[in-house]
Amino acid sequence: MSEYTIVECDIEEESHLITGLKAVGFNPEFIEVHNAPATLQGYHGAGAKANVIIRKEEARRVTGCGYSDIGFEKVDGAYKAHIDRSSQTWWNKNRDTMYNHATAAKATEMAKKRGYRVTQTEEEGRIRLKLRKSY
Amino acid sequence: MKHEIDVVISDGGKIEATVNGVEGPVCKDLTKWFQKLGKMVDKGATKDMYKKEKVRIGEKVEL
Repeated sequence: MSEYTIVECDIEEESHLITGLKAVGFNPEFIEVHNAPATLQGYHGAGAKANVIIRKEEARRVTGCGYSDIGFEKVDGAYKAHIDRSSQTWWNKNRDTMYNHATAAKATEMAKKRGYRVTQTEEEGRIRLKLRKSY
Repeated sequence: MKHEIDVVISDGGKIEATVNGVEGPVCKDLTKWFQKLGKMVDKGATKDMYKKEKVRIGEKVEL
């Protein structure tokens, strides 16, 4: 080994965000995608808008505690989360897992475009990708 | 060029990538595309970075 690089990633693609949301338990059938931001329903989220929305019924099934929609709004090219106070504890525990999986999807997509074979494993909350090129 | 890149993703989307199987400065080019993934926060060389690339000499000398 001879070179290391550390990069921090934002989620910019809807497909990567959905990969992350699936990883923390959301059913993709209940993930709404809106080109124009739609209004989030719920006490604390009222008035806020988002492009990717999980309605409160599905949010509650996964978080076990939420009373409003969970949303992700695209701001300056990256998704920003709208999380109600009632889901905040769950979000704090699961945020890193969601972002790690979304980032792995992004890195895998870019690596495959560059001709790498990719294998993915998980260990202690981290995701490891092996990118191999044999030519 | 045959090589392997070991990528570890942790802390909510932080990527740490290390090139294996390549010695010398050429490996800098192999990780350049990682900059397109997000904001680079650190970059550096491990000890192998300073090794010279291997040169094979096939000439046989008879005395």
